[in-house]
Amino acid sequence: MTRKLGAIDVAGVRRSVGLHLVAPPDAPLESLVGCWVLVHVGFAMSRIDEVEAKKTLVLLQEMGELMEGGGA
Amino acid sequence: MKLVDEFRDKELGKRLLARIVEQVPLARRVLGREADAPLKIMEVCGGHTHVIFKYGIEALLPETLELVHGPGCPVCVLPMGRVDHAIELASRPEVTFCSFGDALRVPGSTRSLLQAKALGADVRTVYSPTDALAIARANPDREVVLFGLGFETTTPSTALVVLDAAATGVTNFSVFSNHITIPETLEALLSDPDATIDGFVAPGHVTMVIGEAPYAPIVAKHEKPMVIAGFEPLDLLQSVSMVLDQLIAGEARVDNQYRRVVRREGNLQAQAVIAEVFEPRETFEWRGLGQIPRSGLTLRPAYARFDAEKRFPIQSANVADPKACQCGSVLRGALQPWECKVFGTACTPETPIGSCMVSSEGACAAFYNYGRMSTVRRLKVVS
Repeated sequence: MTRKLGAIDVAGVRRSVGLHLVAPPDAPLESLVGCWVLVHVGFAMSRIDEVEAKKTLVLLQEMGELMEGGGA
Repeated sequence: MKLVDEFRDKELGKRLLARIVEQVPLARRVLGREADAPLKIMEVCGGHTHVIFKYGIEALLPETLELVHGPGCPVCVLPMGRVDHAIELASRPEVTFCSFGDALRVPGSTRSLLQAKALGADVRTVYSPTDALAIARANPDREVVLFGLGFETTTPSTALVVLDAAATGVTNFSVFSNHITIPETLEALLSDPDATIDGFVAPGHVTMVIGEAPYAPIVAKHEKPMVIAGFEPLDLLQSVSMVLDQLIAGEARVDNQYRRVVRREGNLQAQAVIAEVFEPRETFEWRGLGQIPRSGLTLRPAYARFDAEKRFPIQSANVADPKACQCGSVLRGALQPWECKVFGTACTPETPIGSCMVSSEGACAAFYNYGRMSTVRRLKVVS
């Protein structure tokens, strides 16, 4: 097993974490630079999808707005 | 922080709450719920429980909707017998025992790991399983044992460290595996004839690993809505609202509110390393829930040399959980933390009797630290 380590920035603190579980199968590890990842006990577990985050926020806005119209 | 602050927006939270307030009576009507029986939605994960109490979400919800705190706190569901076994391993003179911090204060039948350390056991707090392997490499004359704790979120990390130890020929490292699995637990909870849960807020980070598929047969069999949820306050409110949407429509399916982190298929690489290193035990004992078939993981025979239970046969008997403690009922969602006889008096985070008072993910500790007694009064009126 190769040591797939990467430096991440956690609110200004640099830590070394394992990238084994988010490593792209067909691209070098360097392609992860600049990504947001979810880290648990020293390993990156998922790449955070900014497009999906925005979609969820739009859905949240819509759910709130629908209520203002009075319907459920 | 980016991708965090957006999910804590106060105005949006107010509007979501207004939506929930309108949804609850509609859902109650569909279910034919009597006036004095609240709707019950269980948040399975201890991380969710912590967020709910920290942000006071429970006090903001209508009285006729109750959040039930589930068994998704790995330290809380560990039976006292397993804690004793951990302490037995840690107390062996040749062993350096490595644990996450939240397991150190869980009481065993005579002492906790922290008290064992005070008596001379070599107990170390680690942040990651990789720290334990580093300690093993740095101390070849010591037998380093990792307290393997956690659901599917944590299991891949333990598996990767075992693979690393195997690949690099480390011979003084082993794992005391108490890794457990969520789908088998949900099935056991719902198979209880006394189960009164109307829907589930499913654990986001477990699902990030295992994907949506393992929930499908459970939802199909028991017809309970399930929404995979994130861990910010708006994530939880949105997820509760999505469960209510399903109840109102008379539907039961798996929805995913936490799409920014959870893919439908989960993390295939993480699933592969779990399957490589671990296999299900026939059965595993949970505090409060008893034996649940295939809910615990042990190392596969190919990695038996890294299995602490095989390297160091456990001598001590398997003791029962203490009678005064009602963690079992709290973990099944049958009792709210403050309804336990010893809550906040004999049992506090400083001197816990039960495991739910120890971990920050435990319902009792979360309620003790953040709970609002006004919520207690209000809920008592309803129930």
